Amino acid sequence: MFLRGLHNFRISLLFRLTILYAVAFTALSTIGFLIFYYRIYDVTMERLDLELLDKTQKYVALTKEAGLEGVLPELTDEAASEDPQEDFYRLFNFKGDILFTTDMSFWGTIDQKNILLKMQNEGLTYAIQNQAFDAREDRARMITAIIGPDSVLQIGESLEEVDEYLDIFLKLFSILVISLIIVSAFIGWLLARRATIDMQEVTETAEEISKGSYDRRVQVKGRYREIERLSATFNRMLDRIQSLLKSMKEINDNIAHDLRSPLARIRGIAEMSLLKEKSVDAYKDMAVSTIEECDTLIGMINTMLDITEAEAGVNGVEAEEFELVALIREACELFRPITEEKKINLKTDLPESLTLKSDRKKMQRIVTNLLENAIKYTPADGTVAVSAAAQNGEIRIDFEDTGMGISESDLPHIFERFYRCDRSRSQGGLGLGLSLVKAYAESINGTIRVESTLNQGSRFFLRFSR
Amino acid sequence: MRLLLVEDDVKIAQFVVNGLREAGFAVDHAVNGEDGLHLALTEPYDLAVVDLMLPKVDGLTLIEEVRRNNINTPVLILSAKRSVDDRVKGLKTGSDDYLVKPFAFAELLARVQALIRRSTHVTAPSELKVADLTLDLNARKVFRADEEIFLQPLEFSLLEYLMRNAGRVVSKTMIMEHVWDYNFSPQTNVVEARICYLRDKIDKNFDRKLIHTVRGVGYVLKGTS
Repeated sequence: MFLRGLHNFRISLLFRLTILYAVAFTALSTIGFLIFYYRIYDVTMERLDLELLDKTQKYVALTKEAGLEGVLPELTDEAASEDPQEDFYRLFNFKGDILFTTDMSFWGTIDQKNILLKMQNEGLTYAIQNQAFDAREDRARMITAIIGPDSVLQIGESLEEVDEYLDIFLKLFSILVISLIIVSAFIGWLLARRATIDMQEVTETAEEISKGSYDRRVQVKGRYREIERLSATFNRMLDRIQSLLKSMKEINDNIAHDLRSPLARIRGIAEMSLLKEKSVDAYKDMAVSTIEECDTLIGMINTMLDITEAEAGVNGVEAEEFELVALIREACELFRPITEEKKINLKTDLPESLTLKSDRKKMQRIVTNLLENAIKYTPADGTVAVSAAAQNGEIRIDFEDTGMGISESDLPHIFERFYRCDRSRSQGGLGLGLSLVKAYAESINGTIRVESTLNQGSRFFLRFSR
Repeated sequence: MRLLLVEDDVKIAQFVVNGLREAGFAVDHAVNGEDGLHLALTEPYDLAVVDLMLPKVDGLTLIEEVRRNNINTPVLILSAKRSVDDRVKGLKTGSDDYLVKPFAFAELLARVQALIRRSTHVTAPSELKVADLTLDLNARKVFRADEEIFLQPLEFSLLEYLMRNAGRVVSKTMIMEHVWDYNFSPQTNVVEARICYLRDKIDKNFDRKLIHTVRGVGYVLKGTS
């Protein structure tokens, strides 16, 4: 149980972010300190070196003025004024023979010949180095300088003080870094938690939804824009899923209903004709109605497949250049017997020519369906008007009728599959025509819009980009 | 004319075989692809009607095999698959036509006859004649008992289609497809209305009616009743 919890914690974003903050913080401050530390060390050493050099320069001048005899008393005086444990002074000739030295028992032996050799080889007049000793822990900063024709002065100064000073600095920093790690980890945890707490909310909502509460939504108020966007997108996705589910359920119900009714009729008629011997004509009637019901079913299934295919873009668009005006005129001609019989005035307002590169078969079906609807729902002596034109880089085709119109409550739903207004149920039809029109129009880069006034008529507006 | 039907659905096969025999064809029926292929390779047929989803050897393989053996018998595919891709695939393998299930028998018969006509290279007539009705395809004129009948272009096309299929029932869907070039039928019965117009001009003034309605199926133009 504990291990599992630990495992979950280990891979959690919260943990990772916390660690990341801490590591980044610590690394940055360590780098900062190291730069700072070495700068201080350099400056301290530079000052020390300058001091040592100054001292030797004094003796260079003295040697020039008074020779070795003038140097010795001055050196003895100066050496006596210093603590022999802190500083040492040595004077020797080029061969390495000691001419003067302070008490070196506090320090240890120095191989001056080697240093001299090195200086001669490199042609230096002085050399500064850190000198370690066997007898003590601290090192000394030591200058070896030629001050006269055959005299070399060596001055050393203990680095104990500097080391102590730097040591304190190091300790201080270590404490600082450790507390920084703790503080930054804490800050990191706080920041990460604030970010993830919103995410957690999204997760919890998602979990609830996966259990079946599809109406749950995430709060969008969030502290971060990213999370806010995530929540908003998430909610939009949920809205879409919910409406899809709802419409799928409705479609399913409708399909079940619309498929069942003709099947029930077929079955009923067949059963009735078997119950009693009947005349041949009665059997023929049965066969005729069976064919008719089957044709309705086949038509419905095919139209549903057509809609689904168009919406999914399965078969793509077979684009060809065609004359739209001719296509519309043909559709009008197709319904001429019907309009003449119903005494509907079918008006057209079409230009000479209007060519379009698109899917001709789909366009044919769109135009025919809309025209058929307009004629179907327009009572005798009414008017149906079709107009088309190229305008603003697109093509518009408008259908206007003086039919029964669509009520305001039905209007938003008329493009839904199987939606039938109560008033249109009596007219028959599958309730798929307008869905197909919309799916087809959209599959060939078009849009459809509708306006309608109840009992006055409807207007359908098609727009296609050229 | 001898036909081969390869179809595993026994009920469909039964009505297709019966229908084709009634139309005067000799029909052999195979219930799976293997038997069908064997028959197609060994017997001479004027046409083969092949279902795509078959046991043992599927329809497309069968057609490919037949074509590989240099047998050019026209092939009509029957299939429940209706997507354009399937159609194209079927036609690419070397079949000559494609009919989607469920289909009207009238349509199957019309297509079978069209394919046979095409493969036997019957020259296109310049005149169609049924009883005392004559349609002059070149002059685009129609005469009934030597009396000229004036038709609208669409009515002419409709009559031409009916006369080309004289004696055979054509469905509304077939008429929409061949006369109007629409691959769907509107709900409103526009074909019925056209047929009415045509009847007024062709049959109204004559005792002998030529255009008959076959309820539930379609229309037929024939001289003998």
